[in-house]
Amino acid sequence: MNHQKNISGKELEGTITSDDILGKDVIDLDGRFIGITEKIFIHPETLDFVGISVDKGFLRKGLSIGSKFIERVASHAIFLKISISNEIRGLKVFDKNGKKIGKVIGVNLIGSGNEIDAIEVASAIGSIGVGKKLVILSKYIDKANYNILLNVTKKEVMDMQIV
Amino acid sequence: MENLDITLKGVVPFEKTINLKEVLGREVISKNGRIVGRVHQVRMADNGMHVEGILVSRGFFRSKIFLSEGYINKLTEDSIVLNIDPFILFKNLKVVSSQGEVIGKVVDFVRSDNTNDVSALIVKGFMRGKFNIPSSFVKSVGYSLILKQSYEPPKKHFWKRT
Repeated sequence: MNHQKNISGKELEGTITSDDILGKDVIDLDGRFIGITEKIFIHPETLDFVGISVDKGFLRKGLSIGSKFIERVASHAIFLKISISNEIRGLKVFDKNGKKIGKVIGVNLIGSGNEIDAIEVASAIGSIGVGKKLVILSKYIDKANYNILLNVTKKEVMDMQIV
Repeated sequence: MENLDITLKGVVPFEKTINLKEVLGREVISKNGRIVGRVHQVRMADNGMHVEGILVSRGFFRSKIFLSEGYINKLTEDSIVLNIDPFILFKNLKVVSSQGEVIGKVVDFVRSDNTNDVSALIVKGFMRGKFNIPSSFVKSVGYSLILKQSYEPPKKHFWKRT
């Protein structure tokens, strides 16, 4: 390694560089491979590390993740301390009795954070009417992992839509 | 519903029972929402009138799995919801070291008896061959399996003397 002079006034041993972050896999709390780090955001005045931008692959929208959601930067990947809420798009939705309701087509987040406000669900054919969209508040979500399990019945979900 | 003459001795009313025929072919959903397969058979003890478990069909070329009654959370006419994520769902899952390196894929399991308790995973990795990872080294299981920092993965090798 090229020995460099250090005029930072700090001990740099144990710190990481942009090379340690860029191009690495980003893994969320559920073990999902989200994408590859492509940018680092730094505040222009405070020079604080603000977050990273993740390339999710060809034709997929990128994602910016704030530094507070990063658990650690390991030698081969960056681990997050959250599950990316947007990743639940496309998952199947079941009611508390395991009855299929539809698929997640949209996720409404609170502000620019990761907390879900509500999900938009498109019906399974013959389920709630083709083309119909349901909005389900996050408080009715029991588990959002491989698929979404609600803590209410399908009938209760349908009743909520009328109100 | 058609008119029925009900002869009841037990405490469960007819309305609270379900037709097992309706359950056949229904989806079996794991605790965390993963679809395990479809109900192939509902098995009852040969000396009683109690459901002992279900035989789940997982599709072509995949072995069926029997899940005993203790692993069933809800059995409805819509689907069956389990109170576990059956170990079989973790087959082929990527195994990631604490440093974020993919060290292999889960190919088999070491279980205690025939329960869902996995004591070790058998993992196969590129240039690492097959190796065992005790489940105590597993930090989390989801879309991939992440190991604890205390686990040291085997080194890559071209050839290993036996």
